[in-house]
Amino acid sequence: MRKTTLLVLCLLFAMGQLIAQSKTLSGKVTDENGASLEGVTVAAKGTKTAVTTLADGSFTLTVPASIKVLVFSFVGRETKEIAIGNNTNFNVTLKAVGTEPLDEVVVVGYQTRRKRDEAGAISTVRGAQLENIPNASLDKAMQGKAAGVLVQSNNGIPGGAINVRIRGEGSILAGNDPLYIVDGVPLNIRNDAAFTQSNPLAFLNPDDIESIDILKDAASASIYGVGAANGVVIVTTKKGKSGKTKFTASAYWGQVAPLKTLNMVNSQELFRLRTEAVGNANNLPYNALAVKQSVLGEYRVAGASTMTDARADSAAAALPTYDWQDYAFKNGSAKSYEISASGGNDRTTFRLGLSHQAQETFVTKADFSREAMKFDLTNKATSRLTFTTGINLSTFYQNNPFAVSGSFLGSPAFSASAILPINPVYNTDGTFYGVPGQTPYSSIAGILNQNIIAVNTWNEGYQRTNQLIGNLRLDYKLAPWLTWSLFGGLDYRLVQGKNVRDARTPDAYNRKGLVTVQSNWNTNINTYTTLNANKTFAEKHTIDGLVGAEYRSEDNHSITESGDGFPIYVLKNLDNAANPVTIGEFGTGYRRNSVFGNANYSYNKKYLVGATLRYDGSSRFGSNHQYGFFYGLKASWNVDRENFLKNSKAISQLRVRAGYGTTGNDQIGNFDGRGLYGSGGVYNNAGALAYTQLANPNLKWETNTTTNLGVDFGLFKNRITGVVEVYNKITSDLLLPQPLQSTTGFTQFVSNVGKLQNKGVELTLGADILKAQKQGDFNWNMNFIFGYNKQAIKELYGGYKVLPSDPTIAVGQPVNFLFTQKYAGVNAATGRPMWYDTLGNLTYQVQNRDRVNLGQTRLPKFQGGFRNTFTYKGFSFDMFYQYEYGRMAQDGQVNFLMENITRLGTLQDYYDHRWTTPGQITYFPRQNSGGAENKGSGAGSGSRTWFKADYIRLKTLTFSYDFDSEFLQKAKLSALRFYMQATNLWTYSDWYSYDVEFAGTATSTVSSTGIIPQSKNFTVGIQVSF
Amino acid sequence: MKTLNNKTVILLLASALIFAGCTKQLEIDPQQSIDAAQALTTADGVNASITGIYAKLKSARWYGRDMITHPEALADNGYATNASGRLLPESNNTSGAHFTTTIWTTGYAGINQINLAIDAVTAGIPGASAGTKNNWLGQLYFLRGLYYFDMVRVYSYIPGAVVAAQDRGGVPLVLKGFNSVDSALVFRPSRTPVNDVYDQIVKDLTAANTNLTWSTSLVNLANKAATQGLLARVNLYRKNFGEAKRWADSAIALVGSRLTTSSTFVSNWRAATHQETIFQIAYLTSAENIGVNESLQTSFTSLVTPGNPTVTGGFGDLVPSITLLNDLGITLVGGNTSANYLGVNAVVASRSDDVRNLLFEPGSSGRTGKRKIECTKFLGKNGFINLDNVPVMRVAELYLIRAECAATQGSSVFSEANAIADLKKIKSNRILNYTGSDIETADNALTGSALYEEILKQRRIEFAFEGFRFFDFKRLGRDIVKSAPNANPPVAFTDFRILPAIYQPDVDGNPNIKQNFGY
Repeated sequence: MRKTTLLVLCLLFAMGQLIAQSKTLSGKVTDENGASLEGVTVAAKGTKTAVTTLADGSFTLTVPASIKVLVFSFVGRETKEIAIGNNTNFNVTLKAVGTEPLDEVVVVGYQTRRKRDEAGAISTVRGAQLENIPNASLDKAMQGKAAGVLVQSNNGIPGGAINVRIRGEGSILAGNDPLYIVDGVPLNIRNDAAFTQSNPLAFLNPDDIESIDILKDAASASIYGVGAANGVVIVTTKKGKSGKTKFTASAYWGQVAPLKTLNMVNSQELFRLRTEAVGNANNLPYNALAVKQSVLGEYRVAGASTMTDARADSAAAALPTYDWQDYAFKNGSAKSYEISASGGNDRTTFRLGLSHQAQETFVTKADFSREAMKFDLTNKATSRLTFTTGINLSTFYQNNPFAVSGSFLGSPAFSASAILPINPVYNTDGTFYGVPGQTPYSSIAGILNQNIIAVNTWNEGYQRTNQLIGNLRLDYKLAPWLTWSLFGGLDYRLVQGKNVRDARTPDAYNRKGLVTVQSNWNTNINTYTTLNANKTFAEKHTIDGLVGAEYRSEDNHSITESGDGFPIYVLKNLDNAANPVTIGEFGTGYRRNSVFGNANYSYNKKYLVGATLRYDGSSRFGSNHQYGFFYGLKASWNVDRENFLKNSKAISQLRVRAGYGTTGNDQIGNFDGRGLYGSGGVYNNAGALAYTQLANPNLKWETNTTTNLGVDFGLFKNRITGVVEVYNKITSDLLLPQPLQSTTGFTQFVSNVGKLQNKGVELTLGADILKAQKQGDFNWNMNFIFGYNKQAIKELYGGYKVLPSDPTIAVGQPVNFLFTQKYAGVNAATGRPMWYDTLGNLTYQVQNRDRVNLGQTRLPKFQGGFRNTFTYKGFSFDMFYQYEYGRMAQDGQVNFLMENITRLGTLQDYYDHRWTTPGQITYFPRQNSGGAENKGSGAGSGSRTWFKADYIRLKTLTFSYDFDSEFLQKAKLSALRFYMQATNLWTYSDWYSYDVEFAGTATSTVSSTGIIPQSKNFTVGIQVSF
Repeated sequence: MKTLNNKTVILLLASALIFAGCTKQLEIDPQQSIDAAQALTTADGVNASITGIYAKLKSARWYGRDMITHPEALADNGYATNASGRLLPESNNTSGAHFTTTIWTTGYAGINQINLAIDAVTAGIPGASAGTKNNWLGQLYFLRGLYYFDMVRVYSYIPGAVVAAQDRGGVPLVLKGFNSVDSALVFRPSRTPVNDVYDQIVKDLTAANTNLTWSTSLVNLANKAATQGLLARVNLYRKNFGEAKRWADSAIALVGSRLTTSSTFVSNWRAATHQETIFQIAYLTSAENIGVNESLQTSFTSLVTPGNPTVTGGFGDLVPSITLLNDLGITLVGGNTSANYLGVNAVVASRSDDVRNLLFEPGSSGRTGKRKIECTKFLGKNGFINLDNVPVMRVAELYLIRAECAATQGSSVFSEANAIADLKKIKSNRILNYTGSDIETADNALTGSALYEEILKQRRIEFAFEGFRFFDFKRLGRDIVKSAPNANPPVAFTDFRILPAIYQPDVDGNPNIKQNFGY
């Protein structure tokens, strides 16, 4: 040692001249958005000379003149080597890794790996793509951003349910929801709210998300075994970084507006329609005096029955028109405030985030507000032992809409367009018109006889969700290559709700108020332990892998109570109810227990192979089949590392991947395999039992076997990048309610019979159309995502070609295809609606036997997103479109609005195109107040109300400005950003009613009746870091 | 392994133990249900299961609504107001608008529970006395008879009124319970001939009769009088008039003088339980309320309280047709014509002396433009709006069954004198000042078909909006002439719409079951 020191000293003296020739370099490091980067290591290549950048991103470094290259590196960002040449000032941009798709880090089962080393089909959404968008939940935020991941809103309720489907639907009976894991904690995704839709994923502020990794194929997901059949969504939240404590504050404010209002007829047109309907039903011309008198009578015109023809006409002309949509749909507001702090030292890092979001929608009452607190702490207790904890506390509050969907009289989403427009909303004195108990007595004309404005002003109720998701993790390095981890996670949720049907509203007037309260708590405990190894031998051979064991339990409990008979409407607590109506208690749960392991081997980072095995048990299955094996095999070849591609100018990255594996699906009822006598209601003041379910001890999970092939490529220095995946997913042991002859006392039992296939292609393409040569130049980046999926039943039990209880499940066909009678238009001679019968002939009256396959319904054939980002200096302009094609859906709302009996408000389009005179060729039948014509089917039968649900929607449009570093330095900030954003600004679609983007429940056929549509949002925001 | 120290080994072992301990923890039991194997091993279990068999009859697809509303809508008693749109297709006899297949599926679920309970009780329940056992069996046989009778009269032709070319049989008779998937999967029954089903119904009811007792407190449950009354009705349906009369005699003797008079008839309809009731489906707690969309109250009337049309309750989807108003003796201001019926608010101009028409009055104007005369037999009598017991059998029916048996040409108990006596028994208790009136004089002179038709007319008036009318057409093989203002042409007895479709999956999955004609 002494010798060495001496030698160095000698050398230093000898080279004094050289030192004099050293030079001082300085500069500034920024991120891709121009924000200063603190703590970046700037090193002289080949030496240990290095400094880190200051808070403003600046650095000064003196290096010997012999040094030719500077290396800039920073955790989570690309490493850049820059030739020094004659420069002394360096402005360097370090992009976050992940903006280049081939260098991402991905979170896979129980570990983090470089995406280059991962052979599975994994889509990653980065936090930057999610930030500041007024979405209540993370699943909504994934929409259109990952190939093969279909995200549909059930409706526009803020915080409402979302339908997420990864690579189509692989199940009929069992659920199709992916497994969600937030920081290691698998989430319970039951919707336990009784009075509104409450999305269990709404607890998390999407701005707290660092990344979302979506495991799409079985080779990746098989590590999660019996829960992973529908893919796995792994959410990693933001964590602290060492360094000076950094604060970020952001806020946005915005407005919420209706997507559209429907163009309805005015009162005179409606009067005309109704007279045609009454006339046709009674074989009278529409302008017969008796008909006019009758309709005026219905419309509560005084003295109608004794009017002369002239007086009737003038009375009809004097009918006022009120568009109730104008009263029911109001602009709402959205706002968000959040602050976070992150920092720490080399042993402890933390991040703390606090946020408040509130979003109204344009239909009352469906407002949402959330307070969330997130705390993450990592402590290196010793050089070997690391503790990590993450706690997410949130509470969110939603108003209860009158109804989430459906044809409820009091529901504005359903009734606002359909109430007869002759009805005023207010009396002349400003009080509500047509509410019960009014003197003088008045009531709303028509079958929708509720003043929805009054009803929704008076009714109240809420759903409050309090959720704690926390985890504690301990990592212990047994050896440099071997880590032992112990993890405990808790997902606890309490959903409380209250619903008040006010005693002044028609639904509760006669029972003097109806109040229901609900409380539901769900405790989901998860713990696992793993041994994780990673070792490289002889430089070229790398082996990594893990073994582990996991246990999960979930318990759900709820109570509900309701009562009516309140002394006065002001009193709304159940204590004041004269009459208890219902009491209820419910409890259920399940358990899972597993061991698992995987191993990966790579040779020279060129060739990689991996295998996964999981032995999984679930309490949901029959006694004979609680445990099963799942496995995955994968391989990849980094072709660009081969010599023959090293110097290629065109191909900068190329990788091919293959995977094969199995996953399971246990998303069925907790006790579907048991023989059960359940509650059979009550009779004669005694509780009853009903034999509800036959035992099936052989019930087991569905198994998905997926083959996946993928190619990742980058062309022209990664100016064009892309991922292509093809897959074939076979679901065997398909869970089906297997029909029994109902004469046995049961119509079905849950069983595994059948096989379903989903195959498809996914494409992700990114291109720098115009590439900035240096920071601040004009840059145009385009991103295109496309997913195609084809679903078909391959086999059914007992050799059936069609499922006996459900003809929409048939071999060779997608699940729940549109199977109904084909509408043939209107008989030009009679104006009556016609359909095609089983022989292809026209008929007025259709039977079940006339139903035919009219194509795919519930899921689109292809779907995806399209993004353009333009940046110039601090400006950024971003347009994101999403699209779906090849889906059919029933427009239930329109079914009501084009009834041929004119009980309700009617679409202008129907009025303009209805049949009125013999010989007229049109699509809308004549009016008939009697409903179905004699020996005819109802006008809404068959395919008449099914429409294409294809669309392209400009989902988000963002314009932002980031202040430049000069300004930031003066202001002592590290970043400052202003932005404006619009969502759902423009839609191209042929859809009639409010919103084409909706999804029903997993198993039911979809209808749009009375759903609360999505809204247009406009927000402006600011984000500042210091 | 030298890198592992003692502490680490302990940690690893501890965690391994924790997870090893968990491997037996997949065991979890349901909290809402009990295992099927335990259900029928105790007296409480048997009682609860039998209660469950009654509870199924409360469904809105059975006595909760359809069994009462549809016979009125499908025939000529009801006119659909289109207030909510409900019952409009049924009143237009639109194909497919009929009794649904729920009675079929619910019925067989109940029958399976009955069959299993009969097996369990016969095998012996610990601690149950012979009396308890007999009572259980009596209730179970009664319920099986009632279930099969309702199912076969809904889905099949009625003996003696069959369109042979369109007859696809009765309903499958299943008398053995199913307790496992294996036996259920291979079960492929065919439709039992109609007469065989009726034989079994009579056999079950006869067995029930020996096991049951009668008391007025038993009207919500199977009882001896109800069993005998049902035997009378079943035998009337199958045109076994001697047996029908015998059981009616026996039931009348058993229950004594329960017939109400013209002064108590209406007030009894305002009470939760009508004094004449010998069997009803009870709805006692507000949790059993069928609600504002489908309860009988809302189906038949928009009123909340009689005589107060300013408070709107339900929809009043089905109201009396013009011919029913005529038979009831209600005349509207402006006359009982279609134009008047549809065009103006209904106001009663005059009523006959028949007190039964007092259960029909103008409804509220809150739902439709023109108020109609509505039936107020179901009016939230059990203390809450939309909550009413549903009478299945009233003692008046026994007299009218007996009268019909005696007045039917070729009947073994044909006796016009007996028929007139029973007819007068009813009319004298329904019409004010009947004795000595012109009506009585005319009734005394009735004979032949005039007498027979008068008895059927009394059934129409007596049981209007109680679920009899369509079945009376059906069992007599008569065409249904729709009543004004319903302008639809008559539904011939040979029309396929007389029968509903049966549960299609049972047809699809079993070649032995034939769907009803026309579907």
